[in-house]
Amino acid sequence: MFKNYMKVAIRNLVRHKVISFINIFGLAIGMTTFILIILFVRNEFSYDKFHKNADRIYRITTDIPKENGVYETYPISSGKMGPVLVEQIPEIIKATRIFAYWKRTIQYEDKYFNEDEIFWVDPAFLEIFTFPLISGDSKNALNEPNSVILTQETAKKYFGDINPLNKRMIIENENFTVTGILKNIPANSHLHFDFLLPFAAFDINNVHQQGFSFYTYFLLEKNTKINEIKDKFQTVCQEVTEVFLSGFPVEMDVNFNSLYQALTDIHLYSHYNYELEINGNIIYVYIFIMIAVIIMIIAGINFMNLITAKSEDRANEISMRKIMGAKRNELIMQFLGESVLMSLIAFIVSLGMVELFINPFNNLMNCELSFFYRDNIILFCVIFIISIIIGILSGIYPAIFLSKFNSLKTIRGISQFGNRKSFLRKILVILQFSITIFLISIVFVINSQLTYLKNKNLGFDKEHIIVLKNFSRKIINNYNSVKDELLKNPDIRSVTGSQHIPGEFPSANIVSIEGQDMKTGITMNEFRIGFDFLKTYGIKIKYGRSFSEEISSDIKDAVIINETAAKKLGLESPLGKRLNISGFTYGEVIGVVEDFHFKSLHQNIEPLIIHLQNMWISNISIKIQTNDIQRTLNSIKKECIKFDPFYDLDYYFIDDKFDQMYKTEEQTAKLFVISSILAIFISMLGLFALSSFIITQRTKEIGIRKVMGAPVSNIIWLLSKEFTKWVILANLIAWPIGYFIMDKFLQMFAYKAEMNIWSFIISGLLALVIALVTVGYQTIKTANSNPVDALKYE
Amino acid sequence: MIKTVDLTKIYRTDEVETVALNNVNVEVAKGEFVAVMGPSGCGKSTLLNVIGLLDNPTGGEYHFNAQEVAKYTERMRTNLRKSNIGFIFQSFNLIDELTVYENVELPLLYIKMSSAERKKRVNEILDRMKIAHRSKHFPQQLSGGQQQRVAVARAVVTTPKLILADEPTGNLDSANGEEVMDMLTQLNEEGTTIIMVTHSPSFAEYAHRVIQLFDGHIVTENIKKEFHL
Repeated sequence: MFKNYMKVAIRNLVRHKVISFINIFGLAIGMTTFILIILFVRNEFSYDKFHKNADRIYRITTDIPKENGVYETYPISSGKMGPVLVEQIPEIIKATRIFAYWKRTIQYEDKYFNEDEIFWVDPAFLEIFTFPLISGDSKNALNEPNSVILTQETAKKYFGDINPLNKRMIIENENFTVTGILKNIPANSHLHFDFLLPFAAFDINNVHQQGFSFYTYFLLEKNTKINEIKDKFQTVCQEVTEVFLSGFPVEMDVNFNSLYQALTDIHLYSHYNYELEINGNIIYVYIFIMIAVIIMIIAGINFMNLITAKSEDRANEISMRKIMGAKRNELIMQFLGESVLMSLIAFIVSLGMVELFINPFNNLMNCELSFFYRDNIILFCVIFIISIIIGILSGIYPAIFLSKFNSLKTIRGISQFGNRKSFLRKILVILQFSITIFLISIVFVINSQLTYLKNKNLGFDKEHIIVLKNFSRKIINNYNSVKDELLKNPDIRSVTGSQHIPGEFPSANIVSIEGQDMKTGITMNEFRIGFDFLKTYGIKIKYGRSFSEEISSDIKDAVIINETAAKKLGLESPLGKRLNISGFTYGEVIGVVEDFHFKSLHQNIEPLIIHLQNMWISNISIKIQTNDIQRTLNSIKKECIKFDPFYDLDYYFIDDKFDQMYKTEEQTAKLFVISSILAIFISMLGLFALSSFIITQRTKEIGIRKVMGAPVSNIIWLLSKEFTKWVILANLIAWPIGYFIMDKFLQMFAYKAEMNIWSFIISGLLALVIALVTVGYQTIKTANSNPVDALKYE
Repeated sequence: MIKTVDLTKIYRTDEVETVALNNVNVEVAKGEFVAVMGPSGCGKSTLLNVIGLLDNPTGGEYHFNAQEVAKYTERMRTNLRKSNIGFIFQSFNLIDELTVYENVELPLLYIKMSSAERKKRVNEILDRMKIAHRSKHFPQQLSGGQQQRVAVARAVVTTPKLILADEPTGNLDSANGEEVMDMLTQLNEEGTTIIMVTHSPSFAEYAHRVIQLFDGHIVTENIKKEFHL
């Protein structure tokens, strides 16, 4: 019997080749998208879970007062906290600090590179985290101050095929010995580095001076709950903070609150300033899951609709089987078997499509996913089960419905389909179109927000600015000469050195009006810059003046603030007022700049204080005035090499930097565009097949109408009316949902594009046009057919 | 073999009530060949369907092989039908997706039978119906006469005691019609009871007895041939 069912199923597939192809292919596209997105989502959730102790590792965070009792959290902590916590809380068995902000030129024999992926860490780093060494002794590799550990990839870059162990590398003129080679860092880690250097290589006084500049991770004892040590933890941190604050020349009288976050929460839930890398975002993960489910639903609906529509052709066969003695459950099994077979074929096709599209998807999403069945056995089983469920759901309706038919009526050609069935189908098609319109409208809204973000006036001129980074001391020490040489180039309009750059994290410090209690101070962003910074970036002075090389007091005793800072400090006429920066630096306000966006447009403009600090220059920004960028870059490199023959030109454009801030949004937008195209495509496939069924069913009616004198246009309208109604209804469902979700999405931005009703109207019209084009061919063909043919059909 | 007592079949819709069979009393003996005639809509097919256990009567009694079956459930009717009754239709009703062989094999799949036995039976019947050479063809590849021969083969492959034929020659030309009638006659001579609905007086001549129906009543019964048990 099974053989007989299989034969019929396969012959049906072959006989209705086009429909079968549409059906299987549509479902396979849905499954492929689903699998790819779920792989991505799984990867997002897998961050940092590869560490053996992942569930016992925490990172210290610090709440620093911002203004009026509001705190802002940072993922950093004092360099003292790690060791003190291990000493005083027995449940904290290990801790490591990470210092990640120094760039170094590293040399082995004649190979040298400017490196910025360097972590200074405590020896416990390798015990807390699971970053296995492929050579070297992990227990002792970081014990000696002059040891260095490289990742496999970095070792290859410097040493090629030579064994690097015990080889000497020169780091900023000092000799270091390679004591270990690490396996490459997995992509799903929030920590990425090329070199590990021991903390002991750090000047310990320097460490203390760096204050809250460290990332501290600690390992909790087994069987201890983090909440059990919360109070103790906070007390110890408070003591360390007090010692730190007492080192300031004035009484700070502010509270820093320390807390911790679980290692495995960092990637998706931690979005503070100064994160070690751009983390993922749980909201986007949810959006991606939603897209995966939506595409799967659309494909599922399509599949069900086509199976049910096609099953009508089988009424005769079912009646005959019943007359021959088939029981109802046997018929139900037959139909379920057929639809499950189809969905399983789609499943197999989708596995092939995943293999085919995984690389383009990786490029799109900027990830390194792979679909090895061994590693993804659960996902594989889930998709397999989903296929079976879709098969069963698609088969169950026709199975139960058709097997209930009165065989006699069927044989006599009396239709028993009635309205019930087409009602269900209508609902499904409307749902499918609602989802499609919803996706298209989201694409419009996200794109208009992205365009807005990219084109919004940031308050400074971001075009044609090249930022050179990763210098050696040789260049920095000769900064003024480098600048003079660069300015000789007529393609270069302006040059400035600075520690901070718009688009990168500024420092933060507590600033108060001199003479007032530090308690009244506010946390301000701090830009340490060289001369010509405001000119190079086109930042406009609102009151007062810019820094001048001719006024010597500007170097040590002048600050410029932005409008927001003046407002927050409550200064109506800020010029001439003296400000106190953490008690270390004082300065007179010589100018107020117009507010400009030095962070992404996710955030409001915050207070900013700018002062000269030539000592800390680590970037050189160059405003160019030419379109021949390559020629300018070559000449810049030539000038730099004069001062440091090892300098390897490392640069970026400031406008690219700002564009990158919206990388996640751009990625999401791309995924939405692709999903919408797929959703539209799947819906079109379904509608095409469905309309052919509907039109076939109405052939007799069309014939009679034509005999009665209906013109072609009337018939076309008659047939299109139905689909038009569906799409209009779908719009009514999709618009409010789309509006609600996009409103929530836009709330993530401090600056947002207006949501435009046209985004929704155009999406709706687009869906209507797509629907009418899809059914158009068959409609026109049927409307133009000879009425006799239609009647003969009956 | 078949006996109906005051058999009634009424079709009801919301507003209309149609009496298809009105107190029909029929008796068909084992081995008899009965033709049912009458104008369109007189209830011929309804009678055949009730006799064939495809439909339950609204009232009256129906005895099949001395068993009262009028109140049988669908499941009971299916079980009784599949081993006792074969059907032949005017429009053949072959399954397009199955080959000639598979169409004939179909009723055997619903009764328990080894595949070797099934194969033997199907081949025998195909030979007998002179359609064996077409066994791998699909119904659309055959002429009307050939299709009806396959339908006859399918009806008799389970060796039913009763064959119900609803205008078996209605879609055939006279030569093919006669061929089918010859087959039915031969089956009848071998002992199978046959009840056939027909519009054609000449094909009705093949039967032992002709029942005339009009508006759900039996109006006349003509004995065409002597029939002895």
